[in-house]
Amino acid sequence: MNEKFKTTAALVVMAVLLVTGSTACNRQSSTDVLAKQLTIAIGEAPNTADPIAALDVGSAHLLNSMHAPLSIVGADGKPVMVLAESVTMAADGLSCEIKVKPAKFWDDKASPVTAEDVRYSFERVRASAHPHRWILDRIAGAEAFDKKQAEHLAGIEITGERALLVRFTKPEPDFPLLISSGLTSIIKAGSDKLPKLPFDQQLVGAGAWKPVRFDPGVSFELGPNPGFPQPSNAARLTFIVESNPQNQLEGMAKGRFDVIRLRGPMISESCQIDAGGVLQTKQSFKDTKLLQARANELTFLKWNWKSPQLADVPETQRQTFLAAVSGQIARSDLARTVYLGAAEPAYAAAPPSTLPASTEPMPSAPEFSFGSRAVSLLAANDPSSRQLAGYLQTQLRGLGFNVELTFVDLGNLVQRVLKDDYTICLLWVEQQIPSTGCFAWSLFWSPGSPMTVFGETLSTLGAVPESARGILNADQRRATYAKMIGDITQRQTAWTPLLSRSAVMMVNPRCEGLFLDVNGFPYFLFVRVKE
Amino acid sequence: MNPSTPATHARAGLPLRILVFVAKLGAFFLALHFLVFCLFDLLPSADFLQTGWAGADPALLASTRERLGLNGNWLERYWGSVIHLLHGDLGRSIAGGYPVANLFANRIGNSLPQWLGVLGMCIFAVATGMMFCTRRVSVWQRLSVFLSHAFLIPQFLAALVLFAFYVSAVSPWVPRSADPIIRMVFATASAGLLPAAMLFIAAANSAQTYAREPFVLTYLAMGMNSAQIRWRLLRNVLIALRPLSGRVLLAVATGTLFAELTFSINGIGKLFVDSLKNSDWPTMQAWVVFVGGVILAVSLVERRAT
Repeated sequence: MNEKFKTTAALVVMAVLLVTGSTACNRQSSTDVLAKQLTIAIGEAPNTADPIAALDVGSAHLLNSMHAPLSIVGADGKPVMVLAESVTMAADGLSCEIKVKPAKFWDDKASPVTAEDVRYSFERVRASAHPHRWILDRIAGAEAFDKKQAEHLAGIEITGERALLVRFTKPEPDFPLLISSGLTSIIKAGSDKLPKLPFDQQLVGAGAWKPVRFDPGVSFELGPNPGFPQPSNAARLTFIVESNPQNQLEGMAKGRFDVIRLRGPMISESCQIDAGGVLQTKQSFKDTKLLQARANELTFLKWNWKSPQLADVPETQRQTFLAAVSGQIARSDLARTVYLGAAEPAYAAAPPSTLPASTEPMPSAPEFSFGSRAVSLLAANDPSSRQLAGYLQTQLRGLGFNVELTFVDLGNLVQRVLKDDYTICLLWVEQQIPSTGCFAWSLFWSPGSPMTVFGETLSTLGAVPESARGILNADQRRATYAKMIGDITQRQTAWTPLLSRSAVMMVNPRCEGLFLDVNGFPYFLFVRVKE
Repeated sequence: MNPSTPATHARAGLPLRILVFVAKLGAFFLALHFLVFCLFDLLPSADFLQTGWAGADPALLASTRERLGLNGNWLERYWGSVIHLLHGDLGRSIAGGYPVANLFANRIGNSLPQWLGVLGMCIFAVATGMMFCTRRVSVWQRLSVFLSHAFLIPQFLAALVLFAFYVSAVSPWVPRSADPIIRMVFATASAGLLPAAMLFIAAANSAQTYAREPFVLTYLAMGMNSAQIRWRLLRNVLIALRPLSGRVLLAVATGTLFAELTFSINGIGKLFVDSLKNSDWPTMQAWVVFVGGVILAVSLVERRAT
């Protein structure tokens, strides 16, 4: 009996030790994962990771982590190779040679990225309804492919397992830049035929991160893809959906988040200008650093002359009216005080960062008698728009306007603008496709589009944009675009450009390698945990 | 008169009554579903929210509608939805295409501690109200009932005030590991303040009223102490509080909604706001069915009370 008791006791002790030991090991490994986890707070929940469907900012974060394009464009306007070894344009701009790096997709088979996958991804974009599918319209055979007369784009020739030659019908010198965004991310050929999964995870990518655990609307946990050309040392990349800016700041101060984007009032709440005029974090965020980039985010006012509140302004006086309003708005003060310098005054139909420095004239304000006028200003219901609308209300009061503010959700705002159900509307547009100057090319200028930025479409602009696109010299191309933008700004009668907001990221110093592209959009492809 | 007739009649009517009840329940849920579907058409459409300004392009809008399963006319979509619902399929969320049932199951765990906390607050409020079960009410007791009316404030205001206090005074001192727990405590307090105050005032008033009843004199004559008398009166007070249950539950539901939104707790309340923001009608429908079920249960309790 005693012997039996001893044996049982020994077995129990051994079992306890085993369980405790394994728990300790697990705890150790989970601690490692936590230490090497990067957490990013995002304001909007992602809806998809499909390159051709990810149009909202939340989805773009997921897309640009799980998938990777051939290259991306840095803040200096130069391409940085991601999955491509090289993208070389011919001197005549009529062909482009692409060589792909040895990289692997994140699916179970870890299959290599091939030239066929690149062609598949390009053809998928061309066959979609994405507003930027125009980037591939100069590839030879695009017309036949669009009409479904050809299975493939004839201009894309596979010359090796990881090499392609793309031929164009007209010179396309910007092609390496045009394909440097999440839209042309490389996905595994045939992924579309796989059973559909939540967040389009069936589309296998070759990005730095692969999906681990998605909690819709809450968190999106990603693990490293060892087959990515520059695999991260971080064990996890987690996107936490946190729509409350105050909670984002508080999480950053406590070290719960490693990266947040500062928008609107968050900038003045967490930062200050130091004696040298440089944007610095406040004392409560002293353990963080700031990363800034000129973002091509143009904000402007649109005036609806059909509105009863503006119907009395004669057509001949509308330009003078807008010039007088424009002269009243102190953009430099706005950029300095509200945005602490993280914005630039804008006077043209494109953000200053996309225009040569000489093309930013300060218009002189003509005399105009406004009288006392009640107008309503429609804006999106987000902290940034609310702040800007409040500032404009004060500025326009100086002209005798009694401005009533109306805030609605984005979907509602778009619908009201399309139905002309507003008097003044505060809008913004971001450039998504990098190029040497053609801002928001077809998003609003496409024929048949019910709304166009600054009232111009490709058809009203004639042959100018088409010919400008083919100019081989980058400076000349940029200058031609700038002249076109200048002409639009001169003749338009319904828009008031305000400013172009920059991208400001607050980053925990332990997170290295955060990449802001030429449009100020963050990419997490190269992020690492500081050793 | 045959004394067995009523019982026989009741037995014969039971299946019919169950059938009527099930039919009423079905009609109630179908009406709710119809209402949500109609409301969804009034909201900005999910395709516009997902495409943003690019939604100005009709071709893109059409392709997005197809991807989200919003193609076809209203009647076709409604009929498809009813058929799915009858098969017990709540559909897939428009945001990400995730099964709505799983989404709901994921979030309910985050709300549960808050609900339990609010329940605890309500029990505490009733227990404190029972302390007023005395024939002679002191000035302090009168004053505390009077002052407790100050807690009957709108719940979004309570959430904002507590959040401001939390961010400015509490958060800097709380270690990171304890942060989620402290947030949950504050969220529970902001959600439970109004229902607890309602129950405290009602319980205190009822307890005072019952304490003046003549039968309490009998209890005293029998030599019962105050604790024993309170215990005996608790049932009377609870019966008096029963008609309040609907309002208390509504206050808990709205309080949870504001608290979760303010303190960033990804529970059921925040799910409703998220789905409303995304025009995600399958999720909204599930929410309405869930809340509808609870309201139905409570209204049955209230009906018994009256």
